[in-house]
Amino acid sequence: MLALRAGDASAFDQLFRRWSAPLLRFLERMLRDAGAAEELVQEVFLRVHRARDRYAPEARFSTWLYRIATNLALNELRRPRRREPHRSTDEEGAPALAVEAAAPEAVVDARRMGARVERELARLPEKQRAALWLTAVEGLSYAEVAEALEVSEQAVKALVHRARSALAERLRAGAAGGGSAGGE
Amino acid sequence: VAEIAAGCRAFDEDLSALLDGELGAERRAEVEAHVAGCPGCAARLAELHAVDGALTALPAPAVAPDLGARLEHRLQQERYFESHRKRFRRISVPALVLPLAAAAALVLYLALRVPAPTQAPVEPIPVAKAPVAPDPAPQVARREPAAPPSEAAAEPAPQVAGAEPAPAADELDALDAEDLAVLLELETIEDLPVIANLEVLERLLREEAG
Repeated sequence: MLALRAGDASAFDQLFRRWSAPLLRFLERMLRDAGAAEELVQEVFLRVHRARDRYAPEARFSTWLYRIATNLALNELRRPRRREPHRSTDEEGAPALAVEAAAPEAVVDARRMGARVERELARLPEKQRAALWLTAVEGLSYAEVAEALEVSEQAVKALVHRARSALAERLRAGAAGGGSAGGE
Repeated sequence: VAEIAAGCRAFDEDLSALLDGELGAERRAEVEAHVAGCPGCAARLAELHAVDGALTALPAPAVAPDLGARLEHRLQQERYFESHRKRFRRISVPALVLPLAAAAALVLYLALRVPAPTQAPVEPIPVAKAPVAPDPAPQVARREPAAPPSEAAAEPAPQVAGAEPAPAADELDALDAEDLAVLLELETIEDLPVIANLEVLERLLREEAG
């Protein structure tokens, strides 16, 4: 980002190559809408580009990036006439968890598990979902998540634990129920 | 949560923080010691840890191959508007006042223009104690053959511009709808309808002038 601020145009391409995939992954989990997630990825980078002259490295670049992305995602989720997200959690069309197993049953089980995880993740409150994803998957510290979500570190600790606990209980309940749809 | 024993509740919230490496050394030692002696908390810690495994195992969506190109296209649009904005920032506000006033007068004139009267006024204005009574007809006659409104509308600016020098006049001659959008600091995406309307206005003005 500092190179971009100094006028190195190729630095922006490098930032895009490095961060577009994790951002898309985060935004798609937040929105459950592939098209909207792509739009927001572009919007995040447009904002980065606009702010290139004003950027001050007070925090890690990734924290700043996720802060922009989180704000955009929360705004998008609160839009009154937001279109219905695509349904990717039916077991036929659901993405399989990344398994190396070649056995068909394992693939089917992984698909079922992936569908359930996506569905239960989507049911979490927005900030819990963001906090858990940024911590557990993207590897941000509580301090960084606090900055991205604009809440205190203590709040992040509570958000992450509530989200993880809820997900654990629901996945356990789903497993006990034989992998049913679990439409609570 | 209901299954958590009363003695374990003080440790429960710290189980996530333990997984995330967010506990200080002292608290971490306490929690680890408790988990080591408590099968319930050990099971719960494993369950919480499994959630992270399930999340990280979700397949990552693929970035569309043309996403970078689409972003570049939007950036080009932004750069275009940025460069225009900078160009017009060089024009000082006082230099704009006169030409803009002329433009406003033109718009008002076009909006309020009344077709030339087809008959003479009913009552001429009487002139008190004039030695010779004025004939109202010449007034109308003078008005009729005067430059038709379309001609007057075509070139109102030089008359006004001649009254005071306008340093930015050359640049303003080239103003089109897009430039106006930049002048008015309209945003590319949000104000597209406004920009579209400016284009319609510009076309109407050209038709009127031409």
